Amino acid sequence: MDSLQKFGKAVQTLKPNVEFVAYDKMETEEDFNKVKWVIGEENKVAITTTTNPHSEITWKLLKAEMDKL
Amino acid sequence: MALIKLNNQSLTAVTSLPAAIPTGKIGQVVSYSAQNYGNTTSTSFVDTGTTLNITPTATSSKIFLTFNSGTCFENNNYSNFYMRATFDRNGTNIGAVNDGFTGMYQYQLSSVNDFGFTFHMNYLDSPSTTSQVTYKVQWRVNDSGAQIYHNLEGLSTLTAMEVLA
Repeated sequence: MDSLQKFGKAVQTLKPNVEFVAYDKMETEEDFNKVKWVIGEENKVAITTTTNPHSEITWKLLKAEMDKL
Repeated sequence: MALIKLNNQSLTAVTSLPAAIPTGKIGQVVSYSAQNYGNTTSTSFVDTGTTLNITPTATSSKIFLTFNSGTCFENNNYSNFYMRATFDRNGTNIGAVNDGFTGMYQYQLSSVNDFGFTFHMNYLDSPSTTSQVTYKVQWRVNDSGAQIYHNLEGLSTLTAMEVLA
């Protein structure tokens, strides 16, 4: 299982049904800060932000969950 | 200096080819292949990261788009899987608003719920411009809790062919 797959599973553990899109890899906090979080939609096209709106999901908590996988 | 004119028009005024010139041929091909790996849980369309630019040579040209990618689905909450994909042209979804151009549906997967497949999508577009056009591949899942992995293995490829009409 690679880092992006672990990231996807860890996010679901911390907060189910969160919507995001991530690319390439998830190995550092810098990668985490590039995640695009879905905050809405217009005509079924996502509106995203790289400002994490989910207080339940921090790099520290996420990394801890990823390390369990 | 001699000026070459077609039907007594300057080249800038020529908007279509004379009938004697055969059409329906490929004018140019632009292709993008990359290992741009992506993962989304979005239920509205987001970029896969696969994109290319092409500049048609005539407003009458059509652009034939082809896309393929190794894709994996993972579903935490449901045994049924829906995904949708579309082409975006210059920031606008040119497929159906909700469903895009095509999708994938799998009924009653096992409790493991990991499912890999090769995903293909084709479309013949009519951009009606001679300005640069940016095409992107976008995708989404249908249900919250589902995830799709784009380009899990190998390369994804997006190709645009200008068809001279």
